[in-house]
Amino acid sequence: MLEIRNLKVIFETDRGAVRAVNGLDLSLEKGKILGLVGESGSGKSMTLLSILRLVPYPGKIVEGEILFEGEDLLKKSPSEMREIRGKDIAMIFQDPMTTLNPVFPVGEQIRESLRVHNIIKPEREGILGFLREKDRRKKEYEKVVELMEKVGISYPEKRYFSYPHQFSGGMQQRAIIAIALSCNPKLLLADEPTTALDVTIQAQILDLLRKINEVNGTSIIFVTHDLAVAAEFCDEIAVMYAGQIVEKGPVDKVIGEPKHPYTKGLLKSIPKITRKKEKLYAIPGNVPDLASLSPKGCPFYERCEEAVEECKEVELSLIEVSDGEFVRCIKYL
Amino acid sequence: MTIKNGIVPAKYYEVSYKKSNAMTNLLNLLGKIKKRSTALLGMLIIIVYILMAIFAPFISPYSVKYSDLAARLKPPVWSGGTWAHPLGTDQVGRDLLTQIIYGSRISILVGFLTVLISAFIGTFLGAIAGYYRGTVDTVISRFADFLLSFPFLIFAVGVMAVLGPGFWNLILALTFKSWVEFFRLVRGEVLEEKNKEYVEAAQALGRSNGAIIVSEILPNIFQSIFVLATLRMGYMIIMEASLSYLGLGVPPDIPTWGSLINSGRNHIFDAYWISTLPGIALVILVLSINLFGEGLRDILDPRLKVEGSE
Repeated sequence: MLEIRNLKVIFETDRGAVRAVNGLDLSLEKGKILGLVGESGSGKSMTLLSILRLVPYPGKIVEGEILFEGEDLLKKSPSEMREIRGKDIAMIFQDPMTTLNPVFPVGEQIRESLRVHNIIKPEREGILGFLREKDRRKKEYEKVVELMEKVGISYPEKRYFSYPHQFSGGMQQRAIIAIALSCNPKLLLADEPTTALDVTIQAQILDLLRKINEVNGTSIIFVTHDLAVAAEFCDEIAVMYAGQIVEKGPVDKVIGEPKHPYTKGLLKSIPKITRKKEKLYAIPGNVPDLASLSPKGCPFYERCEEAVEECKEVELSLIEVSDGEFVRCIKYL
Repeated sequence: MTIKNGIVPAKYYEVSYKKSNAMTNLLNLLGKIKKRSTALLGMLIIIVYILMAIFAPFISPYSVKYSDLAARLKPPVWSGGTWAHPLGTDQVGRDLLTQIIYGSRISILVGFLTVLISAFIGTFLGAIAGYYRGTVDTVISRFADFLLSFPFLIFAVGVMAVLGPGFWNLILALTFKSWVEFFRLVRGEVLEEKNKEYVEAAQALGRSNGAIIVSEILPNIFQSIFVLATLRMGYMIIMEASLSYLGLGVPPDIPTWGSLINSGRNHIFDAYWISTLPGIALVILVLSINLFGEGLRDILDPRLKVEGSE
């Protein structure tokens, strides 16, 4: 249902063009959960924002196609795009504290999301519809209470009038999920939705997202830098590095038998309680400066433990190593 | 109350929906003001002034046109005058109390109107400049900087000299520059709010830019605008008095505090009250507005909220 081809997002800065997303290919089937993992600054969030065409200034999408149900989102007009946002593709953000508007009651904000896409239609058009505003609000209120209950907010009728600061982090995230669900989207973009929460709440939120995926058949793109969460939660995993996907495939393949040196490094650097007093593994070096990255060669070359001389020069694309599993590495050429 | 399938009957909704309307918010605010004595005092004095301005014809002892040449330069009661003219009379025998009461009308009206209009213009332009940035922002901001480079009084004197005296001209002259303050405040606040995630979330929800400005960002910065408005009001009242003092305000037949202070200038040594008393009336009003505004800022601005005060 979603297919991204050769997506390129560039930030024009004083130091030159920063290639935040550099030729990204991705596809997602209906009802699947795709995990997008990578270090900070690897372009995960930008990929999500590109799908909604909300890349912040001075960034812009310079190349590529984003096919959503067969239609290219990059060719839509701004008003068509507004129709899609929230209704067909909804997004959940990382920090629930700041995602809700602090000056409105939570329930009203969920109700507002119903209103934006006219989910509950007025009974009549024009002035008569305006007169029936109260009935419409009543229906919307009932729908909001239902939504709040669905995402696990207890006493929804009471919580409807609470302000965001009266909610705990987990409750805020539930409210945000309720907003995202209000229009019954086909695709849910989740930008590190559990990073700001503690572990028990994290598990509850993941359960909730899983339930939504199963019950509504909503596809989810789940951005995270927590490989354990991704392994637990996703059907497929795509590992990003320097704006590119370096490895993607079914979760058991990518986590079970990683191919790309970067994925191997990531998996090695997870601390384990079973290990005894061992120095924590870290991938040497830092994420490369995206502004001065040479267009040729593998971007991971300088940090790679298995690098060979040819890595500097080689032109790489994703190589299919087994059914549905792709790797961008010279070793598999 | 029975809950069926977790859905609360609509009746409950109506009841609780009323709970958070404008009236209760106002009562809440009044409750907080009551705890701050200076803000409360300021508010009460402002209310007295407003009532005085509205009911001027009923409470002033004489008509505004009345003058008794036989009773010129009578001192106020505490300086040996009579209760016929409690605050004394001026050099043409007009009752000073009457003049001061009528003078409050212009001061309050000018203060209120200029602030209202400039807040409206400033907020509108500030929101656009702060939200859209780019060329619009540059053009409006440079124009605002240009206006800011003039001292206010000199600028207002210049505009009034071109336009000539008159109530609306006065409003125009004062508004022409004072919107800049609101513009700068709102632009800055919008710039800050714009980068918050709730704006991004609203975009991701498919809301239009106009809707985001009006119903997401502005409610968040309304309190700052409100506080600036109260503080600017005192300043506008002083500006009006200054212009009237210079003879550049409203036509001379309408009494204002500024023109009263001016008319007593020649008698400042033998009849101090003509200049002093309107001046005191002015000081008390401006002081009250500032006290009220400052109290409001403390109450409304979450950044200044004292730990544990809520």
